[in-house]
Amino acid sequence: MRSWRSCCSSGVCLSWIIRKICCCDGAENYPVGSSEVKSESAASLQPQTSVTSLPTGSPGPKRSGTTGNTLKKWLTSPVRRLSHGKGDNANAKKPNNKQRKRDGRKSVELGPHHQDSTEERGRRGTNSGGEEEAEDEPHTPLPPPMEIIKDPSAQEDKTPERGSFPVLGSDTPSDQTPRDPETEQKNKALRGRMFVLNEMVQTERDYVKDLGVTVEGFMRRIGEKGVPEDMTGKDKIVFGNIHQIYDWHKEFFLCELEKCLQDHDKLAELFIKHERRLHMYVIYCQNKPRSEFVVAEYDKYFEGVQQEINSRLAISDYLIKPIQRITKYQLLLKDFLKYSTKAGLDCKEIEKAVELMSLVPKQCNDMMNLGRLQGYEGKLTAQGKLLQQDTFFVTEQDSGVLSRSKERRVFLFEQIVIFSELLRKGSSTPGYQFKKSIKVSYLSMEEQVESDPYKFVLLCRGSSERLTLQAANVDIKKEWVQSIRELLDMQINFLTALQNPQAALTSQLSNSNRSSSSQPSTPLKPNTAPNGSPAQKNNKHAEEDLDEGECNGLSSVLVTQDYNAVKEDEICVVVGEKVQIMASNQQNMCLVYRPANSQSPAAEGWVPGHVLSSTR
Amino acid sequence: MPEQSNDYRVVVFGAGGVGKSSLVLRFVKGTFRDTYIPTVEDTYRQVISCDKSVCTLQITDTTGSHQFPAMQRLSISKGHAFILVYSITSKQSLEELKPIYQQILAIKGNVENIPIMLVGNKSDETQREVKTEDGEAQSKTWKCAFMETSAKTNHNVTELFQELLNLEKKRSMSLNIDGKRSGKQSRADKLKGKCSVM
Repeated sequence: MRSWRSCCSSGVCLSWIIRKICCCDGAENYPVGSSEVKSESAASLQPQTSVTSLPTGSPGPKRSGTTGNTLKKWLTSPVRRLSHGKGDNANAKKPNNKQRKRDGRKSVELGPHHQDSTEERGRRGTNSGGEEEAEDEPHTPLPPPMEIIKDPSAQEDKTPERGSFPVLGSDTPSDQTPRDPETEQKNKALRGRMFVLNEMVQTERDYVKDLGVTVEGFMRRIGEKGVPEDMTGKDKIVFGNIHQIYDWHKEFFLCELEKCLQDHDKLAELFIKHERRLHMYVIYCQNKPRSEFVVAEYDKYFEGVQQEINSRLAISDYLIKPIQRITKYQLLLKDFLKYSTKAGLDCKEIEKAVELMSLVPKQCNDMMNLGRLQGYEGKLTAQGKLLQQDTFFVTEQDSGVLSRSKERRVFLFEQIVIFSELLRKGSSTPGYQFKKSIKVSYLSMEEQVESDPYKFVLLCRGSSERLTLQAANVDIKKEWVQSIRELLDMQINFLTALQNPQAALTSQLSNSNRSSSSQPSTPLKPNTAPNGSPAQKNNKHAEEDLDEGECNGLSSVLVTQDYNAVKEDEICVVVGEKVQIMASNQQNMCLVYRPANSQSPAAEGWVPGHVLSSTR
Repeated sequence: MPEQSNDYRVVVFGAGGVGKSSLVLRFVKGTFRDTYIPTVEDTYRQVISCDKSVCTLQITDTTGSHQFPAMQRLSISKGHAFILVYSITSKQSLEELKPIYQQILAIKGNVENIPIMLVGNKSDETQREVKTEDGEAQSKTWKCAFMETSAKTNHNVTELFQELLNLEKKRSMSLNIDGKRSGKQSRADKLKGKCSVM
């Protein structure tokens, strides 16, 4: 935060310089300059206040010391701010000794920063408007107009040697030898690229500082103070792995980023090489909902800790910072890529870095959403990787009966598609209620519907059910269609690769099941076989497989009681109907298939086990 | 619903490039940057008056979370008031606010008592794509307030935040600090050189 304000200050100085130069550049520029000056006056009273404060002996001149010191500070500070992107209160260095000057700048870099911290902390203690006051300080040295006019010429002489100075050059074309427009464009892009890199480093420093407040402030204080008895153990939930994140950024990543200031080409490589490390953030985000819950539960306790360590922000504000930060790298890298492209540089590595740094926050986002899915009985972790998730309007069709369109959050895993309902209770922790699912091994798809570019259809074999999904835009639909197509293709490929007898046996069992269900056998065969293979991997699938085996021996069961469906995935059955049991679960619910008869169409769904005859 | 605290959290949403950062910077620091507009922003704090006592206005930028709704949700759930920014030079930027508004609606439930400002920024630009009437119509649909601003020319910036505070119904909010001021505060006010349009 403190350094950030310094960046802003350098902008102020630059704007001031630009306006003065324009005013002095002949009569043509004068009206524009005058307009700008008026605009600034109207916008803010700060310059007038600063001017007024000087003769009255206000803190301004006292802070600066003598007039001579003020001038010296002014003459050098724009240089430092432009090149480093932050304010520097160190004494002026001799301009002739370039090597020493650079070394001096580096060695002093942390010192003044620390002093600023102390000073600001003091101010904050006495005056909550301290932030505003701190911002006024940079204006104080500016007023001496005659001296300002002289200095720009000296700076322009140094332009070829410092990347930051062309900013002035580009703003005062009349003072420069006219250059090739193409070269000018490239130089401009290189300057932009440098700005982005400076910003990334500067904001990384701020971020590490904020993490430090969390770890060395809140965490340490809580460790010393202890927690309420009923909160024992929960403090670990509050902070997740933020300590690990802090250590890595502080001891490694920030240092490496700073090295990129000397060699811009190292930036993309840094992110590509250490992308795996940033998966710490996925773990942090996964834990965040639980952390929020605990913080809300013990908010009084945490407010007390905040006051004890004199923290400016609440613990919630610090705990959200890793989530905010992980979304920034891709933004900065995209800007870096944009300028690099304009400068005509090789961008292959930067593109890779942008891609990776967009993936990490996407995974964080996905894990946070998954944590809110309620009511799914199976194991999400057993369903493979989460490939897609989006909100669709879903229309269900079952033998001609069309349901109304419903809003559903749909999750596509490698093994299953889950449909859930958004819970809109106005709570601060919204969730998704599980509604239904289709195993990928039973899944098929129609990519086009009624020439509607937003829609596609998912079908479940063994059922006449047909689900039409309408996406929010064409891009989402295309992504989903492609992901599902890839999954279905993978199943076919898997089938053609089958070699061993066990898989063949499983295939045979599935084959028998299909024939008993009276479905065409040829199109079903390729997509059912892979289901047998997963059965070898976990008990649940094995159990289902056994159920199907039993079903094969008992081709039908009589319904002994009427049952009316309560949930969407259930079906109604009537006494005397014959159904085939396809699966059962621990709640004694059975997934059954009912053939079509004179009174109702074929259907598949869940019914309670107790309404079926117990011939098993 | 976030509990009342000494903080009043304003969350600023909008597509990339509409000027969220410039808007906040203009309000908080009175400055506008032409040479380079930074990508990453911080949380800004400013002292305001709240029910006749001193309170802290906290402004959160949401840059970068545009395509990550679960992460956006955290900011929404903790926010007391919202500023939805689009650029009058981009019709698409107004479209991109719609899913964000839906998110706020889903999380807050009843938005009747939630201060929301729809803001058309860059009003100084001549390449207009979104008419003032269109912005107003959208704000009526969403039942929120509307204003066009320019961070560059400092048009309607302070007015925007004051209007947002006026929308708050549970507490009496103002950009001015009420009551007697200490000498240091008075001096700070002079140095700031700021005033609010009431």
